[in-house]
Amino acid sequence: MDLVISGVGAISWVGEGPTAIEALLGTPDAPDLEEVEQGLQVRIGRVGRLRHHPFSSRYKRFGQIDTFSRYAFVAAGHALDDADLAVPAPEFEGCGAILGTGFGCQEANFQFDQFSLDPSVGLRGASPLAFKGTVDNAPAGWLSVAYHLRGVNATFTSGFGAGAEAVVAAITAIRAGRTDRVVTGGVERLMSLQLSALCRAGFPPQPFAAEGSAVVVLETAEAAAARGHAPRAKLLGAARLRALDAGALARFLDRSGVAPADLAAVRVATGPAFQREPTAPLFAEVGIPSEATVDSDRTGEMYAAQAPLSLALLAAAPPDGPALLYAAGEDGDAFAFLLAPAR
Amino acid sequence: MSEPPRIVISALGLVAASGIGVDAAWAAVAGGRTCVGPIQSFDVTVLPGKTGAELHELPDAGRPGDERSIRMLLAAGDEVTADLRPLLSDAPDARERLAVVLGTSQGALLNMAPIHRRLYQQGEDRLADGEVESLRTYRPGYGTRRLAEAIGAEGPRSTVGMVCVSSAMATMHGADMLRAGAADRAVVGGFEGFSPFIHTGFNCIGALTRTLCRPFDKRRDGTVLGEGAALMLLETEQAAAERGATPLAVLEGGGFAADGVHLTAPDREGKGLQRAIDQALAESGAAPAEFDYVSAHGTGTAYNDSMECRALERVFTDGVPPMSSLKSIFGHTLGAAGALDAVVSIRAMHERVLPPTVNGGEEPEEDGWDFVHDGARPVARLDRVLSTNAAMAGNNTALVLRRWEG
Repeated sequence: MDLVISGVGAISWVGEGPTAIEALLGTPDAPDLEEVEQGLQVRIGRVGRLRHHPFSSRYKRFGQIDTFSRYAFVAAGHALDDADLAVPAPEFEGCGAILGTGFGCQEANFQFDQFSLDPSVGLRGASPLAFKGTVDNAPAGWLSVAYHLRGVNATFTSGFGAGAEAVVAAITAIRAGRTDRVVTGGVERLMSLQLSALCRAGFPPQPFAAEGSAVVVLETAEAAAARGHAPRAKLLGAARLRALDAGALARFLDRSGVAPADLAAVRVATGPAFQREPTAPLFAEVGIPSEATVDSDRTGEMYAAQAPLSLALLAAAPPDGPALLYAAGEDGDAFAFLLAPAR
Repeated sequence: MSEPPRIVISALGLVAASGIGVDAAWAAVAGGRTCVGPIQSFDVTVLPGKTGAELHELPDAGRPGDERSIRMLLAAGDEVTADLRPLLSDAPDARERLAVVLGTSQGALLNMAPIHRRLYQQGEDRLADGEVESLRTYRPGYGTRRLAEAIGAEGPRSTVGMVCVSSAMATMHGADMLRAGAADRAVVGGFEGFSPFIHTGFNCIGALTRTLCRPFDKRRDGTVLGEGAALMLLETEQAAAERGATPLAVLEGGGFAADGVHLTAPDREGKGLQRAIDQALAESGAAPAEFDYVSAHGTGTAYNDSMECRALERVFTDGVPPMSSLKSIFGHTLGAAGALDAVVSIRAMHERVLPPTVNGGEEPEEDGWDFVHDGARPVARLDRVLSTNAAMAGNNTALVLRRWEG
């Protein structure tokens, strides 16, 4: 079964949609320095926050969507547009949505706690509207509600590898015949409290933290062809590996039918300071000759959204030959993807 | 292309309001005894929902400062890996090929509430050193990491955050990992601690009962929350055979699908749940007539129970098998609920006893349906179970479990 990436979408500190993809493929200006926020008096460093509140007129109840979910909603909208999928379309009934997030809905939790901790009203002050945003699966849920994606739906919260894991799970769902199309990726809303804690613990974001969402539309080549859509890239393989496991990486390349010497590009998606592992020895051991590009050096570290963002960037401008994308997760997990030009 | 390996379940672990261990939980089920009582762990004076299924004597597992959900999780981990420990201590390969896949709604949330409270109420402008670590570890994957470290699992780790279907989804995801060859074994399941945060949230959306949790009874007025950790050891059939283990059950199939209708209320017709069940049945190859029991989500809320009935009547067109809900016994354990239902179903298949729906039954949701409102019931055959769950954000899951017969 051949799988393709038929659309890409993103929202980040540089903007959203095609503008964001184009800007992130280049070398965007660095975002602002954020030294003190919420009175925490911790120097966080540069933070790529969204410069505007995302808005979409695609859904009449957009105002009900929490900010964290809006990021994924807007990115998915651009990806669906890019895939030439009108919204809502009848074929969406069986289409899935699988997302990953590292920080999840923690800011909504904090806000909900603030509502309910007001001593003048006690726990009665809890807001049902705020509570809706306190579940990590709200973004994927809103995608299903607003875009009528009623097939498989899942949310991974495995840490900073969760976005890559979501993409692998989407591939598994398609290969298992559970669906033939999935909107998949990652979403992060940064909370100063968390960033402060990372800085205090000696893990400042490198080169800078960034929030937003990146989403790709993944489908069978047959499904894309059936509606006359020319996909952006072909997915040759995807796998979960153990970090720095050269044998597993070599087997993955072999299984995907690509010799290390034939790789046209090697990209490393991530990672956060405490996950960053030197990949050069790993690649050398496998016999990969190319020098790897680390996307987060340019885009900012988008945590669980980083691997999907790298996948989207690679699919938006694929090299002439096969390209390897490597993404480190947490606790020794890593993920690898192989893409090739679709045409 | 070779056939994917068959996935078996060869050990169980459970901590809930019933106590520590699967036996304690089964005693509550077989005796039709509810574990719900007045909430003791925090003040509910101003809240309408005043009952819950709390574990009053927490296990000794863990280390000082661990919040209750982590302690329950580690105790369940002890139980589920009891027979596996010799292999894990002797064989590095076995540790490297053991995955941990857990679901939770909020993870170790209790550690965060005091920080939120202090920052909000006292206007503190600096995090204390101890709070830095709490903040760093307050992410859903923290429990997965702690369990993996405790049992010596060095394989892939994954966490699912899908509220009430988290652990059912984790079970399917773990099975997918084994089928893909990423591991030979996986400890799967979920955990959730009783917390003011969740209790307040469910109160404010009007989901909690002010009387009794009465699943599948027309007088029902809401659910009741619980807590716990429920785990299963999944293995490829070959991995189980290699260590001489006799499986308890086969995970024949699974399905997951969205409602795509509303973020907090289910599709009234249960179409999303039906899609999940259809997937699970297709994967298992089992026909509707081959099911002996449905372990329903059965929260006791107006919309959930009726939507489940709508979905099930379309799947089981020749009659719905006996079905029941455990929520009135253990409370709704959210991130642990799907695995808890599966663990009890597996034990039920071995005991050949249908778990009861405790409370209610005088006015059943559907005339002529068997909600097992009359207490635990011995049966001649209980070989295959459908377990269903549904969650906020419109998520639905279905698992097909079959008693191991070799």
